Amino acid sequence: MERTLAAIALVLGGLAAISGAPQPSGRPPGISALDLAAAIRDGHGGPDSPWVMDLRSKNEWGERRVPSAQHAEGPIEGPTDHDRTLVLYANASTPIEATAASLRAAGYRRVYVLEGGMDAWLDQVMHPQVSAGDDRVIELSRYFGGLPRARGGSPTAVATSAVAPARPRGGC
Amino acid sequence: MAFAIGIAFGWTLERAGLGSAKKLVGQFYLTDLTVFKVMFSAIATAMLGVFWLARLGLLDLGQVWIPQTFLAPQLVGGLIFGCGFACAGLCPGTSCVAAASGRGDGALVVAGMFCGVLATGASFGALQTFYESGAEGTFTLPELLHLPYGVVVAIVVVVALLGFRLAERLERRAAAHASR
Repeated sequence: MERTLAAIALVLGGLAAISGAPQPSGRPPGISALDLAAAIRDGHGGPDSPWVMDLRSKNEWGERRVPSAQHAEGPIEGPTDHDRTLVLYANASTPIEATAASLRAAGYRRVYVLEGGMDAWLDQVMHPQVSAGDDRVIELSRYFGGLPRARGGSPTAVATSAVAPARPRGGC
Repeated sequence: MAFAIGIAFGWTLERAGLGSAKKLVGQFYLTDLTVFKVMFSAIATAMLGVFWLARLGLLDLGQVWIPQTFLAPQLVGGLIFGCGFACAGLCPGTSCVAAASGRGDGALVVAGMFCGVLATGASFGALQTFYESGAEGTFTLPELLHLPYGVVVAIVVVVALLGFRLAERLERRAAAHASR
């Protein structure tokens, strides 16, 4: 009996190694940096704004972060409203799917991962390469204090911080 | 569902003999490794079950809660747990099983456990900073080892089976030594 069970376990384990990741994998849906930027802008910091959580180190969060992002320190907790959209991000190479899965299991129905992490925010929102007609990208980038660059042009030195001002910029 | 699972868990532990402190303490003296074999076979069974249920689309891994890692507090808590287990000869689950089986030592361990819980709760204010320190978020073995999920499952199964063989060898050696 024991040998039979051991053989079954070996077979199932061996098949697991070659069968690929489980489907559905539990991987949370992703959100692009531009869509996140639009959601933050349109939410104006109210209850419809996404709840953004930065899972990097506190030093990295202090240097630059997605505007309105909260640093996840200690127990990771989301807002009291479980219907609010949560967006998690870290560096591009940091796996955060387990954290997202944990939040979903805690009852948060809309948990997303920022595709490409902080690197994507910097590339697509703060220093995007744009062509004529990319008005949406240009508008979003400037809303957050970014510096769009002409596609194919020479790199432009960026002095703008990645942290947006606490309030939306007013007109002249 | 939780009630039914709890009953099944307690029944299984008792039937495996884990309600006896003598059997549990044998773990620490390497004379009786029943605890290791029962627990590790449960881990391997659950791991294979979760993997294949998810692989077949019957289980959404996104709905499975994963506890967060708090490195230092969990290391310290594990150390305290290990010392208590070795001293009492029972762990929290098996102490309940022993108490339910009518064993006095089980009842005393349960009582001591609740005293410890109450004391921790009463002093939580002083402990909270340490309790929440070393937060690492949630991560799984595949993420820690940078290996595919299925490969980690296979590795755990192989380690479990090798562990069982080693455990049997240690038990035979201990029995031979005791019979001299």
